Amino acid sequence: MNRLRSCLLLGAACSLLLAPAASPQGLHVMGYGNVEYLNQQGSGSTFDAHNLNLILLGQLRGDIFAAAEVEYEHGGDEIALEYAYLAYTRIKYLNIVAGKFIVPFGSFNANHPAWINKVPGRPFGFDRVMPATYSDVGLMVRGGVATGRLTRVTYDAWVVNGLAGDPGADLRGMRDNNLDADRSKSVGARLGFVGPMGFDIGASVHTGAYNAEDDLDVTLVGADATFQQAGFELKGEVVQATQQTTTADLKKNGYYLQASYLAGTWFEPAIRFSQMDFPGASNRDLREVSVGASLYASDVGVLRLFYRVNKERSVTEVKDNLFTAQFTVAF
Amino acid sequence: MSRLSPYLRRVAFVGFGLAALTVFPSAARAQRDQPSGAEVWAANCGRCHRMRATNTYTASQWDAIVTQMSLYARLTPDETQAVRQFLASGARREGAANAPAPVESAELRVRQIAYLNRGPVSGSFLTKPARDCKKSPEGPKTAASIYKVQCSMCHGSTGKGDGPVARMHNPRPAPFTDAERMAKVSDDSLAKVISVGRNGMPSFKKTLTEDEIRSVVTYVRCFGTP
Repeated sequence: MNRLRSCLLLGAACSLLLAPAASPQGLHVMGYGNVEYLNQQGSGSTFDAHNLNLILLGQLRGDIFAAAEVEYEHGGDEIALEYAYLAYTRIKYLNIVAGKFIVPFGSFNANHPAWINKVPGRPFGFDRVMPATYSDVGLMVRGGVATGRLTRVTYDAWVVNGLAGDPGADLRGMRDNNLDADRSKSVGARLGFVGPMGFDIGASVHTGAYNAEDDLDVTLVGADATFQQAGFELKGEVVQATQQTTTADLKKNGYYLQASYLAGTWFEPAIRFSQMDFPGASNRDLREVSVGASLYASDVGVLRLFYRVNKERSVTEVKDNLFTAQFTVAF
Repeated sequence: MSRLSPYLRRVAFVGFGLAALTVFPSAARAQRDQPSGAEVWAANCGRCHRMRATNTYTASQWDAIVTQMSLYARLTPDETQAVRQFLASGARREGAANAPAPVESAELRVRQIAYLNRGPVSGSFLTKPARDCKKSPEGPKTAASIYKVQCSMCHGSTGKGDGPVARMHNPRPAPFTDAERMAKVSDDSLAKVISVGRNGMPSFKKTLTEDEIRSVVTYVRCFGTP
């Protein structure tokens, strides 16, 4: 076994050394940003320089690729490294990614940037059940295998430090476990199919310990689907978290359904419905309906005007509906 | 790893096993029928974001972007290579502020100069040559098949400028069915646009031979023919 491992390591090392240096080298800076005007019932209005994300891409020696994204949030009040990884792309059908990367669980977590996300803000369930944006440190393999003309099966598998926190705590606060606090790794996978006629479906799982002291695990299971045809897009995603505690398990569910239609080249109305259930914790049972439109000023800039109705399902209704005017650009 | 329950482990093994059995035989078939870079670009890049004009970036920038995006989209190696070549072929030149001047504006300048010198122009580039649109044989490299693979996703299968990704472009792809508009553009201009690209349209000079470009010009002329 040790000999086999040595041979594999030696082979990997040799292939790195032999990688051709023919690819163009250099560092490229790209990114995206968005500013918002928010007017929420009960709390008034504010401008928010929400994000400025700088993306650095470098095609290094041969098939080695480096990417990093630095995020300045809320006018620079928060600065974070969204991802920073090295990728080795020489092996057919098997790309190896090491470093800090966005965990490719489901669809929304990877497709969250404001200039991609057609409805401003996160759907319920994708901030406190699946704690988007969830990036983690570890190793990942991913790729796609053609199954026909323009169709493929895709896969991702990862081992990362995982979430870490106190028993029963909010999952969102368990991110940024950059040096594994509980010394126990989490593993996950997504298996997907990109079909003809704009179909894209996938199923994901992520599991691991979040508190080693009390031997507690958290497991996320999810499914996502997107359908696109002639400017029409329908997408949905569901996620369930099972979080062990020192007493009973906590079950947390969330899902969203979103539809949009690109009329002409610049006007795209959209509607999103999302819901989150925390059985046993009524103040977390929430519903959202967002309605509005995106106005594309160009291929790189878009103004989104949306009204979000928030509903508390099992506690006294709170008047906290939100109007958002969001201008976002990619460069 | 040890924390993964035996049940979950079994499900994962069976799932990946079934996927492998399904995928690999059809993968071999798929390799024999490779989509073009234009098709891969049209089918995948617009799934998540607006399409960028190919001359937005230089070839080396596209190289890095395609690597990053192919990781996200989990493209196959062949798809990655095809779309990389396609985008590089229409890329902005290193150091250039933007793409070469649009061919039509060059033609407009010629026409304006000619008008100033001689009055209204009715030269050869304004007239549409007679064509026999019914003689378009089917085959692997005929104009019809080239058009289907390289052009139809933007310009539409019937040349109306309404292909599956036409909405992602502003301005929208030109309709070849507009007889009045087509009459104002010469064959040379059409060939040059196909060759060097324009606005969001990529260059096809590395993808198609000169003869193939000429045959596509002839083919798209037929869309405006009753």
